[in-house]
Amino acid sequence: MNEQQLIPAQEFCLHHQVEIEFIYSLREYGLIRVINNEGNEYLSSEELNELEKIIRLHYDLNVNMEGIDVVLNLLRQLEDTQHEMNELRNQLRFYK
Amino acid sequence: MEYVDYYKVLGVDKSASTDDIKKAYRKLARKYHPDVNPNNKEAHKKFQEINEANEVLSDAENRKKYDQYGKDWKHAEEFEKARQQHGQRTYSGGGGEEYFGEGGQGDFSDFFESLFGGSGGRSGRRETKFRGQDYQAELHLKLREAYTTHQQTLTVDGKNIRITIPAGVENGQKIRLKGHGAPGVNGGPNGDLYITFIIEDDLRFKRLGNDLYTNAEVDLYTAILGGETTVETISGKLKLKVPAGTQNDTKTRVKGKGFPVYKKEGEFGDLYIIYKIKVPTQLSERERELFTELSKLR
Repeated sequence: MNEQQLIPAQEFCLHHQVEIEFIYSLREYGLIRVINNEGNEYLSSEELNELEKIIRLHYDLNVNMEGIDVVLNLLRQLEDTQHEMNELRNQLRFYK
Repeated sequence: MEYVDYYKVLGVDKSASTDDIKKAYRKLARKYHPDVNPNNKEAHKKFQEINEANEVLSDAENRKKYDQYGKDWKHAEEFEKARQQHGQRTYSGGGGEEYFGEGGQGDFSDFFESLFGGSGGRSGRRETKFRGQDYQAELHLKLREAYTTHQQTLTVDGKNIRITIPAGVENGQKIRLKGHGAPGVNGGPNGDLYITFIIEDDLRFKRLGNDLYTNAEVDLYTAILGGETTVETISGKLKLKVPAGTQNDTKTRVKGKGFPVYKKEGEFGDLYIIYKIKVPTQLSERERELFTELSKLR
């Protein structure tokens, strides 16, 4: 179940109608990984959700690469905080 | 069905230029986009509203029609029918391009549907395949149900999905079922289904992380002299030794009799038993005599 599936980067770009250069610049900014295998470039299926989110942020909201980096970091923090809040809520429930 | 003031939704004046509208929309979209507002239903709803407003106001023809018929949408419907008959209808449902993956732009208000006949028709930027909207659902479980790994069948959009709920799932925990959300747009992949587990409180057991807490009554004599008591755990009965001189609210830990650790088979938290000492009431004459005698010995 933890096996990582690889998606050809070209195929992904075709599907989402984005330039491969876009993927390269995401890699430059350390936002995604591009896996090289026998001269072909692949994306990890585990990162697809994040990548699609990045595409929406960039194309729908016009957020640039630096902005995406900031947004993703803040979202991760938000997720951690929400998780922590959930745990604390459960602890509070215990004392009710 | 309510009249929706799209100008108000975008916070612009009726005389606003296309550029002003675009700017206002972009600003609000950045604020309320579902990707930057995870788990925020209010923001998702607001986002739908601003999208709908933008759909209408950013397009000259749409805007004209809205300005003309907006307040009287019922007539607009008739107007549309007349137009259709003349083969001039330019709007059709389902051709939308600017479809945001999460959070659902797909649902337009009844007002919009009546005015423009179905969501979608828009002269947008790019014809992109987008994954469908994510669905959010809640699943209520009893504490005892969350104790064991079990399967449950859910019905989503008329389809049955069988899911395995691993033992030890937390209250408020979310799982993602890939591809079980709304269908994709323009051939894009399906959205996901997010299920939040709500674990209901149990009368006998309280849960704190992986540990369980329960009260057990001990009669006065066992508490004083020591002895045995039977305690109900979540997985069955358990005989416990009560040491002599046990005080009220004494907490004792039974290792490994708590809640299963999520996705760690065979691992369990602990069970804490809090002894509640039961003081006898309605004493008989003889009992009273003996207790009095005892009290004099101290």
